Amino acid sequence: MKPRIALVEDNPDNRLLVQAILDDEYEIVVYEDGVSALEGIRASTPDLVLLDISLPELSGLEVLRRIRKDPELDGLFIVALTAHAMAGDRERLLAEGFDEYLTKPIVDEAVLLEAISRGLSRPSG
Amino acid sequence: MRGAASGESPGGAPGGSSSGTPAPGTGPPPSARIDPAALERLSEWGGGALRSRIIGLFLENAPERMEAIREGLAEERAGGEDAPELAERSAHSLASSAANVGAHMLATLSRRMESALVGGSRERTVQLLSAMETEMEVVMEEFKRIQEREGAG
Repeated sequence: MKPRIALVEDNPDNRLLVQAILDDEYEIVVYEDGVSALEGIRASTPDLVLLDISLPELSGLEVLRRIRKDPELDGLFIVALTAHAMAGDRERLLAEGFDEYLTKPIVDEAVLLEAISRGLSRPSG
Repeated sequence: MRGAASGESPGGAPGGSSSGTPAPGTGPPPSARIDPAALERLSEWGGGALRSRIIGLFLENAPERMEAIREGLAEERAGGEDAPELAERSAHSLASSAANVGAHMLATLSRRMESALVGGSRERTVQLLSAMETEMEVVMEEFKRIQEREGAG
């Protein structure tokens, strides 16, 4: 069975690109906003989450904080996707509780695949 | 504005986008505005179908996002309020989509617009809007030509 990845991304072209890159190896569950992502992830926990930071209404950062407070979702591997690589972003987001940090646009799919592979091979808990 | 593209456009395309219709069957068209490497990446990841869909989404969504930025700035001018969050989000999305299709200058201008909107720099947003509109027009035409040629081929 393919590992299941939740992709939380409001931009349709970014969703399509990530799906195109990952579809062969992973089952991708797509959420277009933070509210539906939280509901979906709580209802059926994926193996890993790719979470856009800039989401309407409930931001990616807020989604992360709520997941981290939820004992049912303890240890869930969450990768931040961000379009703006500002100085200090990486450290700030990792300190918030993200496990990995990737920038968009995706230029080298190997970077995405390696981050996912690290997340899935990490001992749970 | 031309200088903003320096270093981002790939080599081997000195002709610019205004030098006429590219010859058929010669691969990606010469363009100073669109990075062929970005389009090639899309083809690698999902063939011509993915490339066409991503360009199609750009053509469909970019004008709406520009309009949201324009309206946000107009509201700000009229009411003295900060530009609505929708304008910021639209600039953010436009930057992301433009980068996906290799329209690097438009992506850069959009990122700057988002920063200017967040920072409340009104003069800067007016300048940037003008630059974005010019760039958008060129880029949209270019992508329409690419889509037409793909469709015809």
